[in-house]
Amino acid sequence: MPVPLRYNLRSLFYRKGATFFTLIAVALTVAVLAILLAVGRGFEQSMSLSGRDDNLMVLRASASSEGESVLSREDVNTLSGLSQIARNAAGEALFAAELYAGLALERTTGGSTNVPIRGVSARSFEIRDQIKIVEGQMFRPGSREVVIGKNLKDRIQGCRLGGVVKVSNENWQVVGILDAGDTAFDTEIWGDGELLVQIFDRTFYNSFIFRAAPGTDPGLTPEKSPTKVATGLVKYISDRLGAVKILSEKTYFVDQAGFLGGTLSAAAIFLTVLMSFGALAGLFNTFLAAVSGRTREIGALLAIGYRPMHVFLGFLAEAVLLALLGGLLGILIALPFNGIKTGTTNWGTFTEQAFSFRVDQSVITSAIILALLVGLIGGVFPALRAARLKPVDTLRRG
Amino acid sequence: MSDHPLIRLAGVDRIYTRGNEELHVLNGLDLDIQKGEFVALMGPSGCGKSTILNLMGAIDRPNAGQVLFDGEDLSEMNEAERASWRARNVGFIFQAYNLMPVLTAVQNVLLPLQLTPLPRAKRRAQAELALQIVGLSERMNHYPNQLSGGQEQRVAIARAIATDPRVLLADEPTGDLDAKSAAAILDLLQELNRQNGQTIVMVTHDPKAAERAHRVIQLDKGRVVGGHAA
Amino acid sequence: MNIPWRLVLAHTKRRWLRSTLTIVSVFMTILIFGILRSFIVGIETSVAEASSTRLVSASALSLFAHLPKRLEGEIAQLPGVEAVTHWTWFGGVYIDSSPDHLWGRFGVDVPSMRKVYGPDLILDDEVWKRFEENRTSCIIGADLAKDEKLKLGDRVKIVGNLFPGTVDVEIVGIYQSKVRSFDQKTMFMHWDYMNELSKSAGGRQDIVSTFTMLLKDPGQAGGLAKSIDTNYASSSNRTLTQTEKMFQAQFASMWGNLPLFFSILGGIVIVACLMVTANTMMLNARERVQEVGILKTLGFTPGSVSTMALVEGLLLCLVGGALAMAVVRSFDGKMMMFTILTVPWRTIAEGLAIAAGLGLLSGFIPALLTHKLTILDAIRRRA
Ligand SMILES: Nc1ncnc2c1ncn2[C@@H]1O[C@H](COP(=O)(O)OP(=O)(O)OP(=O)(O)O)[C@@H](O)[C@H]1O
Ligand SMILES: [Mg+2]
Repeated sequence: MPVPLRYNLRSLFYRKGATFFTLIAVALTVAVLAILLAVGRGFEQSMSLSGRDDNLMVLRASASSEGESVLSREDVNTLSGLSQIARNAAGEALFAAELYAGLALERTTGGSTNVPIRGVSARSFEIRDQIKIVEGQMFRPGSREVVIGKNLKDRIQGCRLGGVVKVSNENWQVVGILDAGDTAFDTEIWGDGELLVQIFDRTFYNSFIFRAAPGTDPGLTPEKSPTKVATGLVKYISDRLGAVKILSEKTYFVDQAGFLGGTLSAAAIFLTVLMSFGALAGLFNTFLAAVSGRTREIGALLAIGYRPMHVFLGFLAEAVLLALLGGLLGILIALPFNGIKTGTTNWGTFTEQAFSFRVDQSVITSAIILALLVGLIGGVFPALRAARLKPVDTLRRG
Repeated sequence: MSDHPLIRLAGVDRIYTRGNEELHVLNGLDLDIQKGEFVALMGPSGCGKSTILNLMGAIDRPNAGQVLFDGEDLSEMNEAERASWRARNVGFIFQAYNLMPVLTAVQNVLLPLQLTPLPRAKRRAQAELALQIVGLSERMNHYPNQLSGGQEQRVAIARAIATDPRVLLADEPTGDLDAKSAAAILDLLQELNRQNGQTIVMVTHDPKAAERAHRVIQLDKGRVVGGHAA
Repeated sequence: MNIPWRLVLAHTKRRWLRSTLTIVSVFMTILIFGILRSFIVGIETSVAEASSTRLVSASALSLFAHLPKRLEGEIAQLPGVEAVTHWTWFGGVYIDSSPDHLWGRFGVDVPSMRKVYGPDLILDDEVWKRFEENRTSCIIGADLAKDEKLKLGDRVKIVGNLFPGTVDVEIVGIYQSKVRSFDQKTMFMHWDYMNELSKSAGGRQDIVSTFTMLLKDPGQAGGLAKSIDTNYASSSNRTLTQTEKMFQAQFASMWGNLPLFFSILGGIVIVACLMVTANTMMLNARERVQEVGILKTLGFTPGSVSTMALVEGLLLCLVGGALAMAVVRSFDGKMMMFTILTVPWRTIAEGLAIAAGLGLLSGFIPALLTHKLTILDAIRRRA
């Protein structure tokens, strides 16, 4: 179809002022969306990659996070006897009873936060085999030493190799830095579980985690509400220890992401919807003005023999092109944010969550889709108006 | 009556520069317009007729020479002074009517009256009177696009005379009109001149229009090449 | 200065779609600004309105750690302490663990709570008495009552996790607070009751989250805080004692740079809106070149003609801004993300100032062009 594209392209450059303003408005809108999505993605990614499917966590049924779960030493003893626990090459059962709490520490940028501290046991590292010590070394069991996640480094006071973090009234040495592949563990401090349980003046652990033997069916974990009936392994354990829930480590972290993730995506949707209106209005105004300003030119096109459909498509293409250019510019604006580390409190757990902005393919796709939508919606009406012009009218208008 | 003319152009040069090209449109032009005169300016296209009108109306400045209005040198005033001087002394009528499309006839006529110290009610009365003079009392609340070309031009005339200016400057006021409407506009201008002693300077290509004037000035290449009483 | 007002209005009406779209763009922008700002002001106000004459002691170890209840007696003995009360975070699950039902529930000691916090709350003497006398009763904030559709006489059941056992209490009072530092989305019940419950279920007992001290002389806050903390520095119950203001500030700071992040985004939103309004004004100016010529010919000064362009931009933006701030103002006092949205007049003035700024900035270039435009150019250029 002979759309007068060249004509439409020229006119974009002809109306420089309006083209520029509209381009920037679309670009900034797309940039804001991309940046917000990048935060959400970074955060979600850190959570969804955190756990393995075959690592199962046992928590109190009413606990919505590890910090709220209470398992006594007896409970742990019972659990460690489960036949569903996988064993390593040396024949040792792969389970760990862990303490989880928030340690009040200062951010290097000022202000305090609660950094998650995990009291781990001998098999904790083996169960999370994706975690590696990248600097320094492991803490020695029974000593006042910790290793810290790489996302804490330099963001929290004392969190660097050779640094000191205050646990109760004692100074604990940072002897190693671990890399858990940008997951939630990268925001945690790990130390000896037995020792930490004493320091925290506790008689209990928070969670029990084990590598499930192949074919293990955890049974039906009551969804959210603790009043529903459990089955399978969940029922087996609940009958002995009181109501528990069993979920894969992966599911657990994805659930934890929900709260902050939900907040962020709500903010993203809210801001994007409100802002898109501005970008749309800009496009709309520009093209409506273009149509009335070019009334005579459109008349000439129609007189030459172009059909209204051509005029419609020409204007629509012009709007979409402008919006897409804006979208690309917006992505360019958002790109430098990729990889920037930030942190905030996840109010679901009351602990610090560090994560990186992640401008990945899905973010870019969403940004382009937004630009495309803005272009299409903002272009359709003016294009329709252009197509509806009658040659007679166009020539009469002064 | 004073001994000097209402408008005097003395040794006026007007040079347009486009790039490094200079276009001498007016070259030492001398021209007098007496109070109460109805003068027609004629000449081939591009000879500088509109330029002269613009100088008389203080919307353009000469490169050399003087434009004196009632003995006062217009080129010595700054932009703001010239603006308020125009508001008090000149009424413009253009070929293309140049009405505000977003305002009704009476609102268009009220526009220059807003610049006068008249009270509100008086302005309104003045505007209605002006429209009555041009015969458009019925069409007061119409928008320009609801009027014919001749009617639009009459609104433009009403706007020009509403402030009771000392001179009417009309640039091809009948240029866009059919013969009948043109005649009506010329009747109107002639009547204003005869009954109120309104000074009028009118640019025209139409010899029939020029016949209505007291005096016709023929121009060519920025010079007066002839003049005669009509 | 003579400004053809009627013409300004007529233009705005004539291009009603453009004017409306521009107004709505400004409305959306100022709305975004207003909500972000009232969130940030809300965080700040919760700190600013917190008392600096009350001290709060918590475990220095962690928000998750507790202090033994027995410290209460020791602290009460300290010179300068008028009264001590304690709060204990119960946690637990109400209905389900979704964020909708995630509000604060504390075990407290009613008589001392009334002494220390009574002045911050609107609650009848009679209600206080009923609350005190009924061990399985609770009071809840007005916002909580609204959000969870709870009313006097309803029973609230919460399944414990930090403390085992299910609490089952009756609502005997609904409080409102006089200060923004005390939110209206919290439930208070008897500490004795929940402690008892936990004890009998084999859970933890005789521990509290925080102690709050009312001081005889606010001037002594610093000294007293220090003496409490040094007192317990080498025990296993290391305390961190701060004024209530600083205690609140610690929660505010837990947001990290999220507020800053949102402020930056808010700034980008405003710039994007400037593009839209500036575009509108440029389009207007482009269409009105000839009119400007006529106005100047008629004797309107360059100043008044330029002012026209400025005024039109200002008008559009202020209408959008004023509507937005009216909406934002109606959010005052609502809870969003654990924060009481706060909209003081200052925020409204800021919103209007930004709207005015948008109007002036976007009218500026057209006004300048209009100012410079000579009559000859204007008349010559047929739009
Ligand atoms: N702003 C300008 N810049 C450059 N040249 C100009 C400008 N204004 C007028 N001219 C030139 O000056 C000459 C005289 O113009 P003017 O408009 O006075 O002619 P005119 O006699 O009114 O012609 P017409 O009868 O066609 O209206 C023309 O050659 C025109 O091209
Ligand atoms: Mg001419």
